[in-house]
Amino acid sequence: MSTPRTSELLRLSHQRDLTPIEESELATLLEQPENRNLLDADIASAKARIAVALDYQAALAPTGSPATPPVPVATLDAARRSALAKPRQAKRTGQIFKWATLALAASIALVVWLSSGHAPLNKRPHRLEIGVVAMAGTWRNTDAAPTPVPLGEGWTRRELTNRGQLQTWSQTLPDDVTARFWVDEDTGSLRVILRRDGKTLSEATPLRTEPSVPEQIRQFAEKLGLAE
Amino acid sequence: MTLKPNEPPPEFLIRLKSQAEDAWREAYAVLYPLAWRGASHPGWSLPATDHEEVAADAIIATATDIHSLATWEEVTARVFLAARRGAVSRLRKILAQKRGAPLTVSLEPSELDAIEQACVQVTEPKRWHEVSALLEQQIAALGEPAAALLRDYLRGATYEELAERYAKPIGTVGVVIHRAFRQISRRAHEEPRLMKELSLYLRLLILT
Repeated sequence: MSTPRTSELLRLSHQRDLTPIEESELATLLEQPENRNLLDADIASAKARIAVALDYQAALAPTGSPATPPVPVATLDAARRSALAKPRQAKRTGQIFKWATLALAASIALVVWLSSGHAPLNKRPHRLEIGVVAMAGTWRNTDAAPTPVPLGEGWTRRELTNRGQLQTWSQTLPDDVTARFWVDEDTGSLRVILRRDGKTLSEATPLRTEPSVPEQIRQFAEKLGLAE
Repeated sequence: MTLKPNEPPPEFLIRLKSQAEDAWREAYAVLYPLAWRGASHPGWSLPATDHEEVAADAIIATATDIHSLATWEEVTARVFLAARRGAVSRLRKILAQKRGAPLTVSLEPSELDAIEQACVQVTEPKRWHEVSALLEQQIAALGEPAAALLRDYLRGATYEELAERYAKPIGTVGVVIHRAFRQISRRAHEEPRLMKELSLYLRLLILT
């Protein structure tokens, strides 16, 4: 079983360097597999990304391993010509990539905007929530800790630690909440689950490059009659 | 003309965009080995035919999208990422079809997911190319044996394997890894040249 002290030390290390005594204590704790699992979980996301980046650098400067078979020039030529003969399909792929990028950028913009403590979105007495994937973890500077956000009367920011949590959160609507908004990166849209006339409904609107994501949320809420 | 994957020849890119046959055949010589390595990983071994198809698909996908790429670095980054992502997709497909041999996968599904996400979330290949070089420098700056230990960890070595390889207690291995991640993070934030780009990348690291 993992120890709370391990979590505490890992959390502390996000704020400052551990002292030699604390590092020694951490080393003792990490002798236990359960505590190593905590460390792995703490750095899992960064680990995968750095590993891909390092593999790329290694591939640019190959050292002979793994051995590469001969280049199948004829096969590649034929496949390239065939692919170029399908411009419509390629265009569709490009469009999917484009909105996926847009949706991810919108998620980031939303998190940044909410972290910066901007103005409220509306003043109606509805109980509205915005779900954002929390910007906290190994890679966050302590001086950039999430700031309490004045979302305005009726609005609450819900920080969720990953997309799985966001998905679960966005499928339920407690009795005391009018609507839950979030950016859906999978479909490139702004989505909401809301209660109207005693029924729970879901709505979506495509994300656009302009205006800003918060402004799009405001307009979407207005359109749904949830904001003035 | 001999191309190196990290040297950007602007005029060559123009010829690729015009789909000049000779230019593409020259590019294959660089891109195919890159794609092959992109589809390779210590945590899996694709059947040879699948491996070749994934590498070829990565190049063809980049060829059809060549007009959106402005530099050679973007081409190489795109090919590598497409190959790595394609390999994960192919692994899943093979596993689902239960045509196992000679497939070997030592990674957990969650680890495959993380690798795929790492590839999918790169939206600016040129920036990623620069960031990856910077990360490599920062790991080298950790000094030895920490840099080597971290590289082995990133390539999938277990704590037990690292403890034996580096003759250290397992807990000490954990502390070395933990300290290395913290140092990389700190140095990343001190890097003036790519601070903005790196911050964005590191922010992406924590969004999922």
